[in-house]
Amino acid sequence: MMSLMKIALVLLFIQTEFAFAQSRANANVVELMVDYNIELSKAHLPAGRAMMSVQSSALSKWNPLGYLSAGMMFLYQRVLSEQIQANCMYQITCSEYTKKQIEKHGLLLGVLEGCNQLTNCFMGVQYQYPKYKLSAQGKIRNDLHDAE
Amino acid sequence: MIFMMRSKLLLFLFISVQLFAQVDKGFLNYLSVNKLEAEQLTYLNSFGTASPFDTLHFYKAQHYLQYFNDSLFRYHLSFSEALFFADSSLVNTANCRFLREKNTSRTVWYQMLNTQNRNAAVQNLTLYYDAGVHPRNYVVDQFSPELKISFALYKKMEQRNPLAAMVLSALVPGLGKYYGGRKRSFVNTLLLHSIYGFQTYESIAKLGVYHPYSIFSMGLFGLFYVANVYTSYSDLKEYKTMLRNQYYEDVSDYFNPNVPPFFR
Repeated sequence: MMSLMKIALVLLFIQTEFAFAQSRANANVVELMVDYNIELSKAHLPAGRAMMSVQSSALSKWNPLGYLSAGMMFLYQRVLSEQIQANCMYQITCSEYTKKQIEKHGLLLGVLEGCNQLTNCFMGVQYQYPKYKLSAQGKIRNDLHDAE
Repeated sequence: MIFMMRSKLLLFLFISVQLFAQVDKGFLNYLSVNKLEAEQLTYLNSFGTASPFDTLHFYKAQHYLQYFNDSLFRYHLSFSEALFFADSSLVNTANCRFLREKNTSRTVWYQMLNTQNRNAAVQNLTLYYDAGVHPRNYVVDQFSPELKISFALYKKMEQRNPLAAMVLSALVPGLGKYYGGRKRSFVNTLLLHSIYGFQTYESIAKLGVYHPYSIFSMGLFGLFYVANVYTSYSDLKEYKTMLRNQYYEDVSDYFNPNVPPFFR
């Protein structure tokens, strides 16, 4: 009789432990989902060449020069660049960099920054950059989100 | 007698369950070394939600430190600061990692180091960060030979004025770049401007100012000239940031035990 009671007590104990474990597991699912959502939110858009995004302000939206420059860039990247087998010293090519700078700083400053990269694209320019700015292939990592 | 036995059995079970509920540090180490991120997180979450001042926060902080989740690392660190900052090797690892960050999390980490009274080793680490923020307050000879070169270059360039670079570039194309520490760019820019300037001058002299080719040449030359003047200013500002980042990278390598000495 006593041994049966002991077994029953042990079983009861194990059962309660399982019940607690189950409740913990439910809580874990919620926490895991939160973590995975945070990971998902960090996922960025796939890298690829696309037309420049149109600015939200009315002036930028209806500015024909913006469309003209975007169209010219698109034609250069899709047709001309592939024909002349262009090879840039920078990880982001001059035309792509100009597009990004125009999106960030506007047409005037963006074109000036693009011209600067164009004139600074020569053999040996990588020696002017610190070590951490160079990729494994020896190209300059000119990503825009570098400054603190 | 029976009551005694039963109570002993229950006591044994309670103790054994409590023992098994402890975090297996060896197993965590195995998961961490083999980079089994999801498995490690699942294992840590299997202990339930950690209460404040629990060691579970310490292990979770380590986990998020390894997998670059800064916000959750800071959250769990806030509950386990005493444990975390007592482990000098872990603090060193975190320091080496945050020195390489190019965003505000580096600043936040050093604010965290400065908030409370830390030990001497941690205080020493904050000095290296402060030298990057206020380089003029430090002398180059204070640094070890491995850090002297990068700090000296950063300190030298930090004292240069971007507006002066702009004026110099307006006077002589590319001179601002030379002032900003880019000799190759200076030679290249001067050469390009000389050739294209001469070509523009020749087209004006032969075809006249109002000829479309001259107007096109002048426009293009003007664009490159203005670009050179403006970017002498912006490049020097960017170069200063780059040199500071490189200095922090070198400090990180210097303190990182995983980097062999010949890489330093």
